[in-house]
Amino acid sequence: MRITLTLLIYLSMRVVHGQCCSGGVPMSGNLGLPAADKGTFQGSLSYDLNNLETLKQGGEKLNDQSRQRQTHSTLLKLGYTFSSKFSIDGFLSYIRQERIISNSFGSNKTVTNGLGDAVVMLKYRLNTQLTFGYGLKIPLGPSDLKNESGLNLNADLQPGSGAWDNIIYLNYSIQTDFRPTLSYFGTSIYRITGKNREYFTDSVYEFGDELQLIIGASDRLLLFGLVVDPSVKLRFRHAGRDQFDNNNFPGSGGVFLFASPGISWNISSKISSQASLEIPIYSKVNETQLSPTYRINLGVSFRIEPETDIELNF
Amino acid sequence: MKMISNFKLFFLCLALFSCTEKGVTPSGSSSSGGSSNSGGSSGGSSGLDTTGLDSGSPQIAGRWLIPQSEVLDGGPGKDGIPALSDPQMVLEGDDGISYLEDDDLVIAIKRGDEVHAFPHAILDWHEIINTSLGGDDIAVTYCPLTGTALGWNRNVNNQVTTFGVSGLLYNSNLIPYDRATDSHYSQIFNISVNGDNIGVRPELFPLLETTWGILKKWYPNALVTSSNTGHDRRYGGYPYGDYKTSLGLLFPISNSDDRLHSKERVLGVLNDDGDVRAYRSNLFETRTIIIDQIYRDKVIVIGDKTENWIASYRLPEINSEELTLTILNDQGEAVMQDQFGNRWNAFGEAVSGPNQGFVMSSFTSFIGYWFSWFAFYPFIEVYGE
Repeated sequence: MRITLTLLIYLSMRVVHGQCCSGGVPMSGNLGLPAADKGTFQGSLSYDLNNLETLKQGGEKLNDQSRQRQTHSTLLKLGYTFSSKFSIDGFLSYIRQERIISNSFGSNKTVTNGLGDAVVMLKYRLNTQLTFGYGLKIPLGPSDLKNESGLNLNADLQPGSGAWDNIIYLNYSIQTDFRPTLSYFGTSIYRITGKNREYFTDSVYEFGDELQLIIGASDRLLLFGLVVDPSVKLRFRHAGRDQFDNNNFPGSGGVFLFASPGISWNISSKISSQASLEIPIYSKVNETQLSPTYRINLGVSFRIEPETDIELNF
Repeated sequence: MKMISNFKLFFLCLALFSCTEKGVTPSGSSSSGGSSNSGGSSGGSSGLDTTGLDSGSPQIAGRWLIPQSEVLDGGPGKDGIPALSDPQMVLEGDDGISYLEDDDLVIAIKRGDEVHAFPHAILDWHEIINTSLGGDDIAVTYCPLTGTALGWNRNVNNQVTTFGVSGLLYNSNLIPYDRATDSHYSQIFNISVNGDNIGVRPELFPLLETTWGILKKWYPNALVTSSNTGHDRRYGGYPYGDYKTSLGLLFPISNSDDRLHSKERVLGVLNDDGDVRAYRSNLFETRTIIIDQIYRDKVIVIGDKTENWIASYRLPEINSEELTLTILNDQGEAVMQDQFGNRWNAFGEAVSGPNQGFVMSSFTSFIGYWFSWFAFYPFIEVYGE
């Protein structure tokens, strides 16, 4: 079943944002560096804030603002294009997880910081429109952090997941004939999660498998002498239930639909900056849990092509 | 003459003392559980280290009486599950009760003529209800993961407090904290395991779990928690999926045993020496009384599976005579009768007869999932096996 679900279509000429790992760390959707010529080295550094303060029971929003979860992520992506067909992307993250409970007795905040999991992805470009990729999420980040009193924290607050995941995607984009700067894209990412076999020392925790489908459009405009690329995306996400010792963990998993306007602009011929906002349109969660309220991503990208130097021109 | 008179007086007094009832207390007295403030015994338990507490030696700051490495953050955080304080209590037929069905389980407490019911449907979402009844300050604590309910006196260490949900778990069991000192407590061990009150055992109030339909049949004027709690929740829905019926757990436990289904609800009775025995509901297919001996102690266990309740009490004596009890059916709140003509309800109160008003005392006993009893008391015996 898992294998049959992996063959879906993805391509994006832009960074697409996704959600993965504990507490909404944006990993699987951030894997796609743009296609490039042979010998191109590229990368990006971005900050991602995922804010969850919408308490839902199933599809119903509860009028309760007492809980808040925030995941602050610093994401470093690097990629190299070997040939017209093959390229490799790498992804590193640094994560800060926050949980804030507020009530009439005051406010209680729990924070963890640490290296997040990493991803390495090999991509194969079938043609100018279609790219296939396979990635491994590597559990670099800690998954056994304790609070200031020395007590074990649960999986959702850990920077890392303690598990190896397989990530499979397909990528498709097409430019319109009537307006060559306008392109449409579709993305599919399926993450097959692994098990953390050292959860609370000797238990097994497994985050739910995740499917993401993204469609969008982007264009290029000249605005006040500045080249800008606005985009808009719709992202569907299905997260399976987490498992503890092979038992369903309540209050995990659900389906979500997000809308995400974004914009990038060239700082120079080799450096660009981007910003996006993601807001939920629909969500239905299992049992009762916090669901995303908004997400912000800000970043800078660079590209070093063969026999050209990086040009800093801020 | 005077000396002989004094001897007569002495022996007269001695004779009088020997005729007092044993195992019952007059009405109006506290009928708290056996572990109350006696300190109890941790014999037969697992993981509770009370070394040095009785000697009064100063405690190491940050000390835990349970293995700290096994105390877990359950996810919601401190007060992420909001405890209730003085919730609205309503009668059958009032607003705020539509969420409750007759076969829903409630946790009942009776003080004098007042009966209050706290439904699982509310406690599944709040776990602790701080309240007052009959002049007593009470916290009804309920852990949905272990299915255990204990009633605590909120006057702890000569200070009236309220309890909150810390968000921490030990052996998958609720760890409340008191807001006066921020001390943590193990619910099932019934003891403060960390903080300024370390080693203090809250006095227990006996609780009775049964269905709302049965409770209101016995006590038509019983008040039940309204759904108008001040929190937006869909009461009546269960927040933990298929947890109640599945074999699986959500958090690790120290000890496990598969003699019974992990989620089978059993009544556990813990005597003062720490000996513990479990009574299964299949012993009470019809209303039944069991007189059992847990080592040195005689215990009454009475229950009715169709009405979904089991209760236990110390077997009392009246006039130096051990009670002989027979079942009563269809007699309203009275469920058993003794040889003296006293009729007793499921709260262990004599509701009619020559000793009307007397109350049986109890050991620490509560219903919980089998896995939770074994996790905390791995030496637990199962009655009849």
